[in-house]
Amino acid sequence: MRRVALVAAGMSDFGNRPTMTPASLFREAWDRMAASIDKPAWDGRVDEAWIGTVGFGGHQPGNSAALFLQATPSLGAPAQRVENACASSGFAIRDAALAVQSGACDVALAAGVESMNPYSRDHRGYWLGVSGDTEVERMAGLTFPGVYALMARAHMDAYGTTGEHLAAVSVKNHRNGARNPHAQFRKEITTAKALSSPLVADPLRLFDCCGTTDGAACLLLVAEERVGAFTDRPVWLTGVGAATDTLALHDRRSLTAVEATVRAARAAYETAGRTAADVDLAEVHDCFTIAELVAVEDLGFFPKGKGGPAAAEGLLDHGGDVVVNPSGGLKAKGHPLGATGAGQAVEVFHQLRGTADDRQVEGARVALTHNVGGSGATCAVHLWEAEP
Amino acid sequence: MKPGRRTDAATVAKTDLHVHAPSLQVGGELVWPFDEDEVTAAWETVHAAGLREGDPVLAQGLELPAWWWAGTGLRPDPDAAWRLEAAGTQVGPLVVLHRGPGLPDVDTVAREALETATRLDVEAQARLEEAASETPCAADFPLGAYVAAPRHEAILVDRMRMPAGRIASWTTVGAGAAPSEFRRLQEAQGAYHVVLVRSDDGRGTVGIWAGQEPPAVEAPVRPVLRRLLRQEGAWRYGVKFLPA
Repeated sequence: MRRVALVAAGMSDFGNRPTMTPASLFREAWDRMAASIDKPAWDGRVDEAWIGTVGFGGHQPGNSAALFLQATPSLGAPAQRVENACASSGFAIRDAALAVQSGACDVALAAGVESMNPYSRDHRGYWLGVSGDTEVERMAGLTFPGVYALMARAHMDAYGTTGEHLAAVSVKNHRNGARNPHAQFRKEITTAKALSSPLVADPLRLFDCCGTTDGAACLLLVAEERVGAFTDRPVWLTGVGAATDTLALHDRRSLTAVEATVRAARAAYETAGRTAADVDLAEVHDCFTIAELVAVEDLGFFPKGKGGPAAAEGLLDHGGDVVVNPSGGLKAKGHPLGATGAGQAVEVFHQLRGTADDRQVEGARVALTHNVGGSGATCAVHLWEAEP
Repeated sequence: MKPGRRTDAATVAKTDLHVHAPSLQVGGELVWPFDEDEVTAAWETVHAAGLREGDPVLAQGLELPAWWWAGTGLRPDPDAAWRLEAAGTQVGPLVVLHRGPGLPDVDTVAREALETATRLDVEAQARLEEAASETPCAADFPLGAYVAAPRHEAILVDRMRMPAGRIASWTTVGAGAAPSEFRRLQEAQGAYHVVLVRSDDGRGTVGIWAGQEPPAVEAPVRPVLRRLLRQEGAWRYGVKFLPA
């Protein structure tokens, strides 16, 4: 199979941007992606596009891929919407990469877009639940904060994880987000503030939860033989893994692990010939703080139950064992559902090229992105490596 | 009293007589709380009696929907010895399961139930009843996570047959964490508990906690049939959990 390189990446500003349409968010990300190309001879055309979006709010739920491409020179190329909830663009990356690897196309767009804020509270509430189990979880009065709270309590009960451990994740990711000019929340917070914020779904508090975000991200994945036309310092996509699990949390064997993450990570490590110990930085799916703690365990960075202490001891921060969410993560950078996975790769693109400014991870050579749909029903994991 | 929290409803179980009364009282009378009615009480009585799938039952003066019969597994039979009836008493309504043609005198049972029933905050119950109505429906969110009534009932039938179990985890759903169908109810009721239960047959499920005290991990629980909310002009029923 052919090697696949990430040669350009861009994201819109993530945030509360109700006046932007999904198409205009996409265009902002596209333009920034195009501007990131080192050798500006590209004609703006891709062979094929995969665009992740949930279609939040019911905005253009059909044929949206064409809508997004029509403002670009790539209109006319085959394109499709990819929907796997919050992991939509993680799977768009996977689909695009497999197409390039197989020889089906040479220049592929993997992207994501979501507009979540221009809707009423009821409308947002309704759509925030569409990716969960609607038949039982929803009719039991649960949405994702409640489902992740069930995981958090089980983790606390099994391993002694504490509110302070959760707060350590929140404080770290807000500190990182404050350094990211495209992040939704660019303010640092204190542990005391996190621990005194209102309970949303016990034991999760307000600062344990990500916000609702408008945003888009675009990635250009190309075949090895085409890399030279774009850049001399590509980021190589070396590991690809994806998996599913039951839609509902209560149907799973474990409440303290996300099996889809374990399986996807195993596949990604195997295809890359890497282990967790090789990873310098990881953009993980921290839609809630407990999700980051569970993820760093399931990805193999720390033994099961040790994620909380690792966060509290600073082992997930700059200078620690593995730098987790240097972008600010979903928690601070923002979580525009379908755009989140591609947004994670934008951060990796800058980190592995040494252009992440004052959030740069020192000596970053190998990075991992981890994108989860729902409470763990779908998961895509990718490994990325800097040009040797 | 906290609105919506209460002790379990009074159930009297004898060999040939099973009675389920409302758990709430106003003054000197029993009344149905917002999430109980004759349909949920009928479920309680047949469970208390230990009736099994296929047992014949005659329902008199009760409108029991098709999903109720499917969920209980009972067989409607005009010649059945077991009779399920709504009964009015001097202190309020009951649902009675009994053998034989005549309705037994259950006034004594009703008075006993009244003594143990929780005093009702009338205004709070009215607010809950109102809040449980007019929830978003298919017309509001045609592309959203709407569960059509027939599908909801099919799932309910399966959940009604769940055995007891233990709590594996629980949460308290506060403002901003409830589905929009439950938002108005939550504003009226305050935060509510949801439990994740591992039932004795190894299955998992989730449901709203109907107990008075907060739930606890590993506590034994049993499923109960309750009204959830009104949607499109009809009550939607669901399984909640009580201490076993």
